[in-house]
Amino acid sequence: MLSILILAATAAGLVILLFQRLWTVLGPHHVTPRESLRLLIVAGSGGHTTEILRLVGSLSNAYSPRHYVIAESDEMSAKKIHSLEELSRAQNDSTTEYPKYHLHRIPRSREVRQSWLSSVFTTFYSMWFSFPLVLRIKPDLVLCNGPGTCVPICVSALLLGILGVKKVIIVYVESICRVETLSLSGKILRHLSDYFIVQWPTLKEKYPKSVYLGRIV
Amino acid sequence: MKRAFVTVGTTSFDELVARVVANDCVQILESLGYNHLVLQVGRGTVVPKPFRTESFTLDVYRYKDSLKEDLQQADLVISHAGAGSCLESLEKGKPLVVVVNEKLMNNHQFELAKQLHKEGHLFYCTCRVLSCPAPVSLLLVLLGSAKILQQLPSATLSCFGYLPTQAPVLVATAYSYLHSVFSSFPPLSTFLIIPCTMQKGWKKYCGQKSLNEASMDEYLGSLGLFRKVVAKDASCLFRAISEQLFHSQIHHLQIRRACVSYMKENQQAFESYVEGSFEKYLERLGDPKESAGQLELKALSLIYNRDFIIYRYPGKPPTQVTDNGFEDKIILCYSNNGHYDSVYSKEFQSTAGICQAILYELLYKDVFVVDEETLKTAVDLFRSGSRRNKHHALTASVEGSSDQKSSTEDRTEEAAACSSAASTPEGNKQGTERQKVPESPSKMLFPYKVLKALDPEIYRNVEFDAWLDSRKELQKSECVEYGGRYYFLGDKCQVCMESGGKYYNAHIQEIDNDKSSVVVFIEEFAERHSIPLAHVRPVNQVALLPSWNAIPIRNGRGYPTITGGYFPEIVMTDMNMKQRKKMFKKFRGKEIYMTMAYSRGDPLVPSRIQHSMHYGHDPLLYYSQTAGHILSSQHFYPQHSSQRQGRGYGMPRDSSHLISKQNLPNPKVGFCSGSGRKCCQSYDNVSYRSRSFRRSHRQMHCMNKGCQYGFAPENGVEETVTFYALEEGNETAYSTLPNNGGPTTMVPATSGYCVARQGYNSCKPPLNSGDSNDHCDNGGYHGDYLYSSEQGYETSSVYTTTVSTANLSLQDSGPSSVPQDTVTSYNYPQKVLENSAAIAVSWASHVPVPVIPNCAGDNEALRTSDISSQNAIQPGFVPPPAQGSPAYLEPSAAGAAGAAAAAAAAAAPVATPVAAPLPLPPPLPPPPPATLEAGDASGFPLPPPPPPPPPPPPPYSYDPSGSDLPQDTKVLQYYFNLGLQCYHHNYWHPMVYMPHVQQQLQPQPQPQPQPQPQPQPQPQPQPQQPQQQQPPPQQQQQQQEQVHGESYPDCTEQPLVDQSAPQVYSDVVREDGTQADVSTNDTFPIADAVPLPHGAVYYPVMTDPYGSPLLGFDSYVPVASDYSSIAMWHPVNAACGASAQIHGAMNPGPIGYMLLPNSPHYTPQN
Repeated sequence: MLSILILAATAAGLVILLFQRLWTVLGPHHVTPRESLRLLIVAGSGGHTTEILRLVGSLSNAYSPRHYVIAESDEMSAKKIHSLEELSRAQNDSTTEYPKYHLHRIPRSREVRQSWLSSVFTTFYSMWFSFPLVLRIKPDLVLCNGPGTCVPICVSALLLGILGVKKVIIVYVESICRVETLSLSGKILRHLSDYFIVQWPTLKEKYPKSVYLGRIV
Repeated sequence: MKRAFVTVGTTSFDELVARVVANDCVQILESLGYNHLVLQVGRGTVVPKPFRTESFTLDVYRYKDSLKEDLQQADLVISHAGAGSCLESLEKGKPLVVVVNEKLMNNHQFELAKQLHKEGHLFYCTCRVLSCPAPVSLLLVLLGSAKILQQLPSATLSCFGYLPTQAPVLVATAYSYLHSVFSSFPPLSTFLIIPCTMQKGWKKYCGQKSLNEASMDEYLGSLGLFRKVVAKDASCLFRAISEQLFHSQIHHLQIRRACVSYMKENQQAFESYVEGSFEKYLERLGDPKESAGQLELKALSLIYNRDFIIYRYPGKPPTQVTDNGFEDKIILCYSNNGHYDSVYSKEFQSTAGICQAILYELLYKDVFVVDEETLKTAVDLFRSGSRRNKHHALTASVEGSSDQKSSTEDRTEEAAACSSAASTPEGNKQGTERQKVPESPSKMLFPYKVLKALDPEIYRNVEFDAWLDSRKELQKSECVEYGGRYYFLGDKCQVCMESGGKYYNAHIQEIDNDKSSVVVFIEEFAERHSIPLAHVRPVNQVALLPSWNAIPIRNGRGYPTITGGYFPEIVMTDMNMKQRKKMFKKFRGKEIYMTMAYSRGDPLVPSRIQHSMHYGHDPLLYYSQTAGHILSSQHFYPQHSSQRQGRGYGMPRDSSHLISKQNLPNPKVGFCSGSGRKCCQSYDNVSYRSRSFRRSHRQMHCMNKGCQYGFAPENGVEETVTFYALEEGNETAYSTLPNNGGPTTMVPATSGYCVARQGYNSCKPPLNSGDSNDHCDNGGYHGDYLYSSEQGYETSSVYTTTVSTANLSLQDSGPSSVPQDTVTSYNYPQKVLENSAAIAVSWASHVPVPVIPNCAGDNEALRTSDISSQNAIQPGFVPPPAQGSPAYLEPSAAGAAGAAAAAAAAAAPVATPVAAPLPLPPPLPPPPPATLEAGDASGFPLPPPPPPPPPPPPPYSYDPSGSDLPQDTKVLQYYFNLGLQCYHHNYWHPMVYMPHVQQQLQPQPQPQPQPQPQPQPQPQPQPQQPQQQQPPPQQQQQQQEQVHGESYPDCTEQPLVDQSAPQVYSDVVREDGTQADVSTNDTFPIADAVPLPHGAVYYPVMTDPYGSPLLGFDSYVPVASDYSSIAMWHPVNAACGASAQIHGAMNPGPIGYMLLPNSPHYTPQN
């Protein structure tokens, strides 16, 4: 009996602690200036890749090193990333310090047209891979724009913060193709991300807490 | 070597791939000049085999590292609607058609596609549509438009898009889309903008309007410049700048906003120029209704890095308004009234003319699939015609827009042309007729406007045209809304240059602010003149008469109709403002369609009126039977019911109307001369305005136009139907009016003569009689009510309405000669004036009771038996009304005393043409069921009662006021999506509206609340039939009629509210009786009594074919009631879309309906 009570108290304490951590992690925090920023980019697939690469293409070299997370079997994205990075490398010929980039693959959390229910399981499955990845990379900033893969990554990044390993800034850029409604990832990550950026004013109206900067891709 | 590139992105989109490589699609591509198709099929399972022939090459691959190369080479990109593909293609500036893959999560692609389309970047469609076996392939349309895009050497404009719905509608929608795009899209307008020939026409226009402008044009012309007129509103400056900066005027709002924000940011620079609060000044400036001036020019110059050069006075060098040292200049022309116009070089003008021609040609050839030869000949004809009488063409080019009809016409015609090859000729005809190009009316295949645009030598100022059109709409609605103007823009009228001079046909183009004069376009001169109101008169009036009577003098055959709208005006001058307002209100509240006029001269009838006819509430419907028998009967609608119940009315009437036209070889002859046996039934419908009238107001107008056009073809040159709608703001006040209007019906002339039945309102009986007399050209006809024919049609609803109050007893006069009529008519107005005020205020005071007894007495004497039967029937009627208007029922039930009821009943059986005055208490909502029952009852007497099962409810609304239109905001939104918002409300595309309305309507009508009421009445009426059928000698009828007429005066005094209801019923009964009589007497075997949906008002005389539609309406009616606003639209649809179809069919009514069902296909896109 007593043991149960203790157990319950412990659990309650843990939960409270968790929420408190979550609160602090998600709450406003001081941004310390730094020379470079370890960037984790969730490339997802298809259009998401295209979009995110357009975003990344305009980032300065301070965002380095860059870690791309792509879904397994997504050779298209891999090639695109390579070509982008090579291109920027070619442009920055003079400087020897071009941003390093790495490719990481995790299982897709959701295939296109996959059913919702099964995607829950696959998401957990991909979570199993993504957390170690995030733990290893310890990014300063996670940039994602809504592929299914980004959910486990972002949750992992959040876990880092909760566990006190590292505060990771999560920037979620809603895909440009969401004009009036948020994607599922967006709905999930809206509360978990530090900066939730939308690209259409209608969304900004719907979700006042989001950031609207115009069309940025 | 043109390439089309199809990409499905990372994933798979088999439907698209399969569709694109389908034979028909490939053929289309080929026909558009694409001979290389590259497919990127992704992971899809459908992988077509690449092939290469001489004419066509197909390449297929799954993935490439980069699509950039393919995109770069492609001339057209067809893509799934993924963000990546869209962005990449648009980045390359390629024309893009995206196909939404609807199977993805949340159908999220749709959002992006829609949004990008909204912003004008692409076309989009869905697979569903793509694969739908539509007669017109969506892809075709898409590709057609894509081709158009490609013709434009603008890299910035990738595409525009539109959302297709269903094949039939599709074209129309597409057209309207393109239309709006054309007139508003920047890149396009760049090329289109400048008229070559237009200038002259414009000059002419200006010359008449203001010397100043003309001389300015001349001066600019001498400098090699061309002034492009910009919409004359407060935003003209911003429009002009928008056009010069972005090649489109649509950005004027943004520019205004930019100007405001810039001035806000740089307050110190501008503050000193502004008196008073600068913030307030900016606030005002933000309002599109505020005009801008020097200060704004200064700000705009700094914003856009342009310097402004402005021509102010002809003959004087331009002034450089801003001198900021920018290289780019914007040249404007300023006129003293604060208006700015764009100034371009003449080269630009001619280039734009050519581009415009190309664009329109593409549009017609590829999107609307009009034969190229047809186009060619049309343009050639147009050119030769314009050469022959230049001023016509020229003026028209400028003025075309001002002509109400043109735009709608175009659309209608195009829709017709596109939808089916067969329909094309008809559509053309229609267009031709409407255009009234004097020289070669029958040869003109396209609307004037379109021809203008098609002719490379003429540059049509589309923006201005559109603005003019929209302004007309606005003004019109305002007129209706606020009263004070009785001539509406676009109305046809007759004017004389100096008092006593010859009258010319004209339509009103502008109304001066002080309302003392109007600017009219005179057809004979093809010129614009400003004419004092005193010199303006409604169409078809005898010169000396103020005009209520329309005397067909003109063509002899034309039936002049007088609109309520017109009448008031004349009267108005004498009236004080208060009175005017009252009058106006009345009109607004109810639409009374007084007359249908068959005239060959369309111009005679005010265009507005014509429009209204189509809608559904046509007071007079002429049913012609193939045998040449025309049954004319008046339907009296209880006015109250009309609104809600009335929705149904409109349709049936229209259909019937159409039918009649078709059937009659010589519509005129049939009606007037009474050759052989012809019975003309005219239904007078008084439509009540729905509450939502105001709301739907504009729409209605638009619709009206559309309707009008639609009708034109059917009417052919010869027939025009006009009806006047009196709208009552104050239902009570005007209830009488509508009733009066109703009376104008024609009596079926079994033996060579037509008996006109007039519905008498309690108040109006005398008037009607007077009218009838007037109209009776043929002295031979017995009784007052017998009309020779044509004039009968003219029934001056106006008179009656106005007169009714006056209590004029003209009936007694009996058969009166025409001259008398004029006199009488003359008197009316005055009386009306006097009375009007009184009427409006005091209708309630009238006591209906006395009248009834009188009538009853007369009737009874004639036929007691009938009375009894009818009395029995009445109870049946009464119950139904309970739903709609308890008040209504009460009077009838209570009988305002049993005597009244009895009298009414008695009256009903009588064949007298007198339509029962249906003054209904305005406040009471008309009970739809009641009306239905009434209609059924009326139908019973007819020998062959063939009430078929109620057909599917028509897709449109019957309420002229549009009260049954969907109120759903989504629908409205949809309209906007269709491009309405271009020019923020300036453009109205009637066609666009139509489909939607139909869509909305159709689903709803399904529920049929009414069936219940119908069954009851039927059993009862049957017994009556024998009695009624007994052929009463014509003389008897006449006598009865006369009696009725006499009684009417009494009736006039009846209080509208309580007794009106009983009267209505009685009327119905009467009509039934009359019809029955007629049929028996005259041997109209054909005429079957079909219960009209309207209810009490309907005549049994309807023929079978019609009957079925009518039934449909009945069922429909209840449903429609919910949507008050829709009604107006529906008729339009019928007119536009179905008119051609109706034409051919023997049973126009049903056919029309059947056709209409097309609309159901349309699904609201939102």
